[in-house]
Amino acid sequence: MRSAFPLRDALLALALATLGALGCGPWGIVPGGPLLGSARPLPADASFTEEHALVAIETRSGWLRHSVTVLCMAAEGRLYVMARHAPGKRWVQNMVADPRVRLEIGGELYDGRAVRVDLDPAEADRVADAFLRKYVGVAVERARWLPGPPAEGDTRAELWAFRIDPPGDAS
Amino acid sequence: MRRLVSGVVVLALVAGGAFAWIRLFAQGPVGPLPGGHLRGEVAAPPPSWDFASRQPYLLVESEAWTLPYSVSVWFQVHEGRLTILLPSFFGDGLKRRLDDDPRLRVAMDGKVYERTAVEVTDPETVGAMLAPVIRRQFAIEIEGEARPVGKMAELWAYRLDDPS
Repeated sequence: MRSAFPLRDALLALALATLGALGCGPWGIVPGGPLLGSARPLPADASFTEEHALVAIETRSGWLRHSVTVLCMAAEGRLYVMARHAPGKRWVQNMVADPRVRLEIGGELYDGRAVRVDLDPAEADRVADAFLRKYVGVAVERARWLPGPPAEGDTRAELWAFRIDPPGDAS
Repeated sequence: MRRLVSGVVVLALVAGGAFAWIRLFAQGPVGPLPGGHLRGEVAAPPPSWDFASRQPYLLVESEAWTLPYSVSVWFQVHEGRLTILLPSFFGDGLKRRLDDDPRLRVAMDGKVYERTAVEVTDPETVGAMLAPVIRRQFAIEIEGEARPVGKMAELWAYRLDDPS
């Protein structure tokens, strides 16, 4: 029997799909909720993440969990994530307020702790170099991270970077 | 259950119709989907492309294959010439089309310019083309040559010349 209200049925299906999406991780560019499952601490050597183009990161805002898909790169064995137009991003603000994060990398879950590093020139430059190699596919003679917000009239993005440490690592 | 199935069918039809409309009629990409034919008055190339630098991306349409295919790409005016940069991370759809047919249409300020893409591989030139784009998009200043190290990603660079 055909429904007399196909639009209502479609909205019902959409609502169910949305509820389902909120109950699990992000779906492409669409943010999601908690990354459900058993997680282990992020290893001290995170070089294995170089095999993965995209990872999911779950951040905390009170009892709510908010997860998004992000770029990640490894430099000297440490894992980094970065955000363009960072001040306006919810997941970034969540990490600033509460550094506990959960990552989904290649189907495995890892717990970690986010530390902002873009204001440290040496570490930020290493992240910039790793980003160019991994996502642009080039090595350059020198890569320098431009910290902080752009000056008035400068059209560049504002970029923040976070190192993801193992959860108990306070270094 | 039957109502849910009919709802899913309606959603799929709406999504399929939206996809077809975007691929055929949208002026440029919508989210991750490439768009259709670029409309506008076909104009002679301007004496200088510097005015293009006002915009963050360049809207281009490949003339290869049957379906129109328009996307927004990284670009730079380098030594007075329009150039585009295609990181493989954003997909290789345009690169594969340019391999088959280098003709491109560029939309800017309501006008359409016909161009021919010529691949650039010299690391020094690619570095100079890439530097302003990476600064604008990612707040990273780079210097010197840009040498390919692609394991996961590649970068394809093109100069857009007058049609031959």
